[in-house]
Amino acid sequence: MHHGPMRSNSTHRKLHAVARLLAAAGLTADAYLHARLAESYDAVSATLSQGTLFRIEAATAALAALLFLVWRHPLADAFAWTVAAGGLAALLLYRYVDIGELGPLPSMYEPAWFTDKNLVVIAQVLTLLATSVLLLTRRRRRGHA
Amino acid sequence: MLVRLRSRPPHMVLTIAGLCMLIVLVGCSSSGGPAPTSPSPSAPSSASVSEERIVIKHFRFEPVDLAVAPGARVSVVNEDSAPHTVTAKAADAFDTGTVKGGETATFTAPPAAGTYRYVCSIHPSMTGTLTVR
Repeated sequence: MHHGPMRSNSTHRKLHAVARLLAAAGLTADAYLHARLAESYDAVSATLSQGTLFRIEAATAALAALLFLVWRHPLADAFAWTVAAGGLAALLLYRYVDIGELGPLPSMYEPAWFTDKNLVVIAQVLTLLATSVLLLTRRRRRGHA
Repeated sequence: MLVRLRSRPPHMVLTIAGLCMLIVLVGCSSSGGPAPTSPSPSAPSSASVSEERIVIKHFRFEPVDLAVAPGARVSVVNEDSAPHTVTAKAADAFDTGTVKGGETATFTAPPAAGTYRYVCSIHPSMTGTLTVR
């Protein structure tokens, strides 16, 4: 009776399926929230407005979600991880540090937490965790001659 | 480089991907309507109205300049999801404190006539003026 490897494969597949679903949900929520908030943040502007940056984040997260689901490749997983990590880093930086205008970027310092911002953080952390699981527990596919 | 799609669950994957794109498009379209750049019809802009009101929408005070009587009560309606404040630059003149998204706060205009500049202390790029006369 050698069920060990089969069970292990099954568990691995389930883990990856759940992680993939959670990451896709996180990216979609990230894209939706940024798209919805963009218009309000158009007033925060320098050469670029914060609304424009939100639209770029929304488009990038949507593209990452699409790639992530259609193209099951570590590069797609890494791209999704990078989008979530970059968005989260920017959010936390501008939540706690007043760096003012930076080149074409407006001053986006916002020392407050509120529902939409909390949801964005949850979505990005979820994406980070799920894509980390996918990247760290990936098994090499055995090639067939 | 050719992208090789895995053949296992193409219908499921494409369905989920389509749903994701649909949700994002709905998000874009809900914010992509005509931008209400003019003052909201619910925000009175004249000092002749007895109940004075400042509406905050899309990170702007409406009206930007409001004239009120000394000691008038001014309500502040925050229609954004982000929190805002109406905080006088002159110390202790008036301050709503944090008004959460969707909530309303009130403050009392100063008794002394004059022009009072105010800001949102959370988003200092938001400015307005309250004239007491």
